[in-house]
Amino acid sequence: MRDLQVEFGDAFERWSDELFRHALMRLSDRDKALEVTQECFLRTMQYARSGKVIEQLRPFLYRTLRHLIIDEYRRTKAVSLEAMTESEDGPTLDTVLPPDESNTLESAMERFDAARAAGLLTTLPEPYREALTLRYIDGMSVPEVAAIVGVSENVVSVRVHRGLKKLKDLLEHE
Amino acid sequence: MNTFFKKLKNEARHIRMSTGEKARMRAALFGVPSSAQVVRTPYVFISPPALLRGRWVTRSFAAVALVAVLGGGTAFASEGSLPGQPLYGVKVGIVEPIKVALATTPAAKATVNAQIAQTRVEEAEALAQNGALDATTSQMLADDFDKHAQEAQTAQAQVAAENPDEGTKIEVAINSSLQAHAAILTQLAARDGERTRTLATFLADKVAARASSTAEVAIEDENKASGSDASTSERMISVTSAVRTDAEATSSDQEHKGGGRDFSNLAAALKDRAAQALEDAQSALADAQLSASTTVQIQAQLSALQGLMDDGSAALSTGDYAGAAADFKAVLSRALITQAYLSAGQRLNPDIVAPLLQIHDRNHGDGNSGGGDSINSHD
Repeated sequence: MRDLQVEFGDAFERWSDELFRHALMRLSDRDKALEVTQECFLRTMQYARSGKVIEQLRPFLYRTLRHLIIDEYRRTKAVSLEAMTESEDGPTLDTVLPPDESNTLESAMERFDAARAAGLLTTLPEPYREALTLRYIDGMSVPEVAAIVGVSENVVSVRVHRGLKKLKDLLEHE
Repeated sequence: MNTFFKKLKNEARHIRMSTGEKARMRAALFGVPSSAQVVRTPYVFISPPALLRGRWVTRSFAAVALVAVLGGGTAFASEGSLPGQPLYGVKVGIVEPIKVALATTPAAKATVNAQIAQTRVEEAEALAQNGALDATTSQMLADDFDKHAQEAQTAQAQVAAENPDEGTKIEVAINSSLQAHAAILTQLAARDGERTRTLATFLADKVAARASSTAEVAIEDENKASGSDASTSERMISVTSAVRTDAEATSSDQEHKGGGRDFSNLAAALKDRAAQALEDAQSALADAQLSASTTVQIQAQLSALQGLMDDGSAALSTGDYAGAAADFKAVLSRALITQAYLSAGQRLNPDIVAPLLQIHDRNHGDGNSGGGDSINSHD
């Protein structure tokens, strides 16, 4: 069995920056982002050392990080978990988007400056900020985002679509 | 994914931990015993269950007491201090010994001690850049550098004895850092007055003496190639050739001794590390405040390294694992050295980067960034 220290050392070298980036995009506070990133690795290492199996380490780290970010939100903003996970999605989450609509919206983003967009992305409300960060900053596919967030792929598509619309509005009116 | 989203992802890549932040997190995580909990101070871990185990009690309580007395902010603020500054005593007398004490595995000891050795050298570089290096400080920095470099190399040897592949990765990281900083100090020595030149050269020689024979062969070959106006790719080939020859000699030697090394795992591990290091070097270049001409030339060097990565992948696919390992090792070493030079450019002076990377900076006309000869000056 490969030494856990070595395995997590490699994981740290590969993914610590992207996990930190994700935390910072979500929390907008560098110290807190550093803290949750470190805690994420620590808790995952403890989980593995307890003998439990981790099938895929990268998504596991993202899920752990997500929980820590939610804990941080609760600590500082007193926001309910339900508010963070539903927002304007409403009780019916199985909206299926016509394929053309998302493609058109993505194409419409071409004319905007990516640097401004990255900054404005951090001002979006949750869960759109999370969905867009995972999808376009962390480079995950819709199924991967769904697995990390724990919702259906349709929900992810809706959140990405609505998040892009909000981002586009911000870019047009800034 | 269309252009906007590629640009968005690239833009976000600039968001990353600093070298110091990452090093502190790495040292804190991998010097931690099992069942550790985070204490909300900058990266000092105390383990509540460990407090109940006798052999940890003295060490852990000492760490708690010191952090409680100092406050996390003081320890954190001391990180960038230089000899002669008020918090320097806190850094070397308290913060660093805690980090060493909390490093319990050979890999963690190698990492922490290598970082402290590097810190001594970076302090010397900062003082040399400011013309503030004196004989007493040089000797103190050299002695402490030697002590921690020796600890790092001893720990690395222990790792290599148990896990040769992991030992190799650590060795490449340590030696790349040593090579880079020897060159940086030599470059600084070439720029300033007699006293700084003498002291910086003294420290550069100390640092260079620590580098491994493999690294020395690679530097020698690379300098030979650069002296003959070889192109970047030719220099890369000569570096690879030196490293590959050494790797094959090692492999052949081990086979003769009846202990053939399996290079397949090493090649795979080095490939991942080399790819990450090359990506980090690209990011560091994007962050660096360099002239357009210098940036283009460094980009060409990084593209040549990407070519070496491709060669290594091709070797891997044909089962030439020793050859692939040599290629990836060369890329890793060169990418780490490039990162160190770019970091020096940000810490000290952007003008230092072009001569270190043997680049003719057209904005400066003659390619020399200051008075006096440099080891990489162009005619």
